Amino acid sequence: MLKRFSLDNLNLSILLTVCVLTVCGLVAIYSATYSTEAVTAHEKFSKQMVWFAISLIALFFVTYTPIKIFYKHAYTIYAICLFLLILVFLIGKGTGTRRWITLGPVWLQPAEFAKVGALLALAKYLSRDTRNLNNLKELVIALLIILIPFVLVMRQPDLGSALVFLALLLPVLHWAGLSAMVLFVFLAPLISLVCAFNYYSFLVAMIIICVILVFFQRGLTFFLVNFIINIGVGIITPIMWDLLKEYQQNRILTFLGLVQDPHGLGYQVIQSKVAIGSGGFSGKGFLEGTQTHLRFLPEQHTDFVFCVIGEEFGFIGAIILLSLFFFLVTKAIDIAGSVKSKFLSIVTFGAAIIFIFQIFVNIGMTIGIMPVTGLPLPFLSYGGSSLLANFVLTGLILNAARKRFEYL
Amino acid sequence: MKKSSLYQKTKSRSKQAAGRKPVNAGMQYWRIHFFKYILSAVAFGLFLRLIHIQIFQNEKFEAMANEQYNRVSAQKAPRGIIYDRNNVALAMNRPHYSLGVYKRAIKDVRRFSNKIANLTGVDKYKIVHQLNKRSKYVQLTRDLDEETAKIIEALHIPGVQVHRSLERLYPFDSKLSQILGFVDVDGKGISGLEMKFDDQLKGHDGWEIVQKDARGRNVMPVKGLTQKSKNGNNIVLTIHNVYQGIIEEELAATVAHRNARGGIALVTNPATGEILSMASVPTYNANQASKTNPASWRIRAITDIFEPGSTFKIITMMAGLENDILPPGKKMDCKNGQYSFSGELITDTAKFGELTFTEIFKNSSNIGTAQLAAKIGRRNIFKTARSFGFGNLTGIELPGEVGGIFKNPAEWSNFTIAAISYGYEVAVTGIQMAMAYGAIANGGMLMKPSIIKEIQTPAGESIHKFYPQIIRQVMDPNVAQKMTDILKEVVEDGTGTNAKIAGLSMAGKTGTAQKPLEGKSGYSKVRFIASFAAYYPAEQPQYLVYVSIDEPFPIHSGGGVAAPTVKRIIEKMRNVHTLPRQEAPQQYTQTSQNEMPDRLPELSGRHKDTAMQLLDEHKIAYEFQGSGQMVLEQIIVSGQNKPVEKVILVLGDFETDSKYQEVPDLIGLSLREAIAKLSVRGIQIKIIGNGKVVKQTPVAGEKIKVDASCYLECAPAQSLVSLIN
Repeated sequence: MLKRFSLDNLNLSILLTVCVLTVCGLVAIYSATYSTEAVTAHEKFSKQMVWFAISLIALFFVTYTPIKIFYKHAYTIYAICLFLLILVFLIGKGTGTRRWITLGPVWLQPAEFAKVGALLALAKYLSRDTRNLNNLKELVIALLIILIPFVLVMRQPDLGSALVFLALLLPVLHWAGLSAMVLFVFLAPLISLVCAFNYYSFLVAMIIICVILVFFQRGLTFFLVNFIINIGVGIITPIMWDLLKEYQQNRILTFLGLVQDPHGLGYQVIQSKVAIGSGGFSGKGFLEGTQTHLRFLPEQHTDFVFCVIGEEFGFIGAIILLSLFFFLVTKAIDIAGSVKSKFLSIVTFGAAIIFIFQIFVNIGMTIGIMPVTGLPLPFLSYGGSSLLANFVLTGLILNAARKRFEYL
Repeated sequence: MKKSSLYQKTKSRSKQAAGRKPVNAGMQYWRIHFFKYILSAVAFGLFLRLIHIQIFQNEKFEAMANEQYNRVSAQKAPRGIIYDRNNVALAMNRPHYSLGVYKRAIKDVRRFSNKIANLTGVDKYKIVHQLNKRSKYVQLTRDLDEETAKIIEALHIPGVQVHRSLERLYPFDSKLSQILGFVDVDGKGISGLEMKFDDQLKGHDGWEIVQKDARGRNVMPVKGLTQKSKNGNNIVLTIHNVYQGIIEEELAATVAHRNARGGIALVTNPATGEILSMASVPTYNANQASKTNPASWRIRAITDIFEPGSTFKIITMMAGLENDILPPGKKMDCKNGQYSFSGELITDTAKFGELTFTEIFKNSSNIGTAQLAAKIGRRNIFKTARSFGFGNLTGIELPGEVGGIFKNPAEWSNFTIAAISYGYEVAVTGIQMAMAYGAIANGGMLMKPSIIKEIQTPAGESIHKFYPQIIRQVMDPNVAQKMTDILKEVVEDGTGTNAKIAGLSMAGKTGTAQKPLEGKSGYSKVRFIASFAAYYPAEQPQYLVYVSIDEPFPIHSGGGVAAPTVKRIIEKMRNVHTLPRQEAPQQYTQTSQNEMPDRLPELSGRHKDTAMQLLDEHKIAYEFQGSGQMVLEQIIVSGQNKPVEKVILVLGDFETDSKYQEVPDLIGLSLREAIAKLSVRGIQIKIIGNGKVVKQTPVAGEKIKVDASCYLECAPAQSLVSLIN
């Protein structure tokens, strides 16, 4: 038994990376909350420290738990997560939203754990040998596993977290064997929709879609059905758009980041860009970030924590952080590619996708290339549930790295 | 290397593991690589974007950040106080509170405006109206008393800011208002002494660069980037507040009573040239200057010129005495009131026969005076009038003085000598007349009028002190004594008897001048200027009073209008006992006239050699203080028997490197950088606006005196809104 806990087959580089990332987060949180009133000054920092400790324990627990147990109880875990998500509706807390369940002083965010639960359930479902994703019925069930928590989280409402579920879907399905063709059939109407607002882009998109459809060589019916669907989307979209009221259009445009209003979400983006941009090459120094300390930026210890790094540690700090993330997720994809167990492979890959999506959307939002959606930056943003969930995911990756050569 | 070995291992192991299930067998390399490529592309995208905003756009964002949190917070320097000679404040500052609010902080406009209306008494709808304005920060009221301001500050209403500033206050409203002048809304003197001595009074505004947080609250001053404000210097005037009150009251009463258009009155100390009071009617309330007629802002005694009439006869009188034209005992025929001179008719107010020299002036006979002047000759009349200072500025420290009109003899017609002898074809100011009579009272010594007694630093150190300045000895003291004797007769039983005060020996002269017709030649028969100049006690004059009334009607003579006013003024002044008496006037022993220099040349700012040359020309002794090539200051030392015994020249060098600094190029620099560059050189800084320096005065490369200010105009680098669009 003792041998199983030995550090020999523990992937130290990954463990170290997430720990360094978390410490970076602690530094940023310390700085972001430093200048506030003395009473709460270190409260958030110490709380996060406690969560870090709890998360580390959880990580080791997950790493050394036989993977069979997760496989066996995947659906149960998923069910518990769904239950918690429903519970949030009944007893949830939050300002204007219902996101948290309180257990005394501890505030839990079920949406964070639901990511893990949904991933495990999806992985178990997809890792069945006989599974054929190109079969419509089985595909729909796989979709449902993701869509149920997506809808529940969306209703909280927590758009950012909900999008993580959707982001998980296509890459994981593809990883698990969904053919490129089916993937394309899903994606093509989305492309048509986006391109429909401009005649030329729509024309180009239609030509490319036709070429690819021909390339699949699935017969005339397949081609025509898809072609008509895409053309239809392209025609209906502008009509639908015109039917929307102006404020509705604005809301959508603002959401997509195509329009920024300087007082709402746009204000945050500008302030975050100013903070990061004014950091320059080497940054203003720890605790010297003016935008951070003068509170021009809201939510700087949670969703906009990257600004603190960007402002106080500059381009160098930001690049080091990006490199650490890059290392972590490439390592996870490598492990996902080499692990024997299909279940573990999908879980590892899914974990990597969850990380990638959150990192990209969060950092992209702070530097003004993604719309503002409330998503925490993994390992760095203040928040216990998020940290714990990310450490559990890391634990699963480490478990896979450890058991790389074992079948389930 | 590691990766490839990893895959090899996987492959080799997969053979052993074949047959087991479930197998991750469908894993394809291209999928791994596909996702890794996407991942790399995404990471590269973030990388590029970070380079873009942190490296290439760094300057822009830094400027935006600076603009957001660095605010130049100006601290207005309290303006210097203006006192009268007994330290009664005539112009001072009082705290003034205004109230504004950052609209973002207001949740419920109705509740907010009700609350503010209750606290301040400002109309609720006015507040709502202000809040509807499209700006982040709106002003709610400009007038808030101190108590309310403190209450509101203590309440800490979110977004509400109480702004304290100093407001100029003239406690006596219209008293001395033309001379004090007033300031504009920014506290800059734009009239009177406030304008003339603005540099002294304004002090140095302080500033600091403060960081503001998102709510606009001051957080902290940036280290090293502050300059404390320095109070303005205080000015003590020679004005006697009580006398000023008296002459203003009497002048206003006379103007009203005599249906006049206006008038001037002034009281001086003839021995020193100090102005003890000076009034002009119409007047205005200095606290509400902007609402009043600019015509009432003029200091008429120095800005308005008029043909003086008989008061000007002192010129003929003096020249006649000096040249002994009509010795005592001899008489002159005054032609029974009608006399044709060079084809023009001269008339007297009464028919006079033979008159002595004294009687000519006592009765103010124009015919007699004209005949005397003709005997004296152009050149002498001109020289005498010039020596009194007519046609020149007196040099009083007030803005807007004019020198009057006094033509060169070459331009005179044949009649001019007669006209000038009794005060026509010459235009003078009230102050010139007062100083001329002062010279007679002062034993023939013409003094420079002064209204500034002292300039003090806020700590009370004296920077500039008044000392009597002699312009020149106009006449022999004996002549002055004789003139005083004649002028005593005028009050005793001549035209000025209306000013007579029992028990007081007074010398004076009336003047009743016809005003010229408007738009054509000739003189009005109904519009007059009535004036009277007097000094007392005649033996050792301490006070000189001059009153001139513009267009009194129907009584219009100097003796009938101005003399009684002077009398009342003197009576009232003699009743003022509560205040300390005047110090005894300084006495100067006489010197012969040709030894006296003309007005001492202004030497400060000139080269040492030039100053020496000039003083040699005037035969004035001098000595040096300090070393250098430039004269910084001239100090006149009066001696036992000379008003100017010697001049001390304080020397220095303007052009040494330590005193002058080259201004660096600041355009395009951030305020912070510009300040750093200037501070090193000891140059003061005036900042207009926020952001980057767009204009500097003086321009780069120019030399500027240390302690002088460099003006920086700044503009925001880029506004937030323009970035969005």
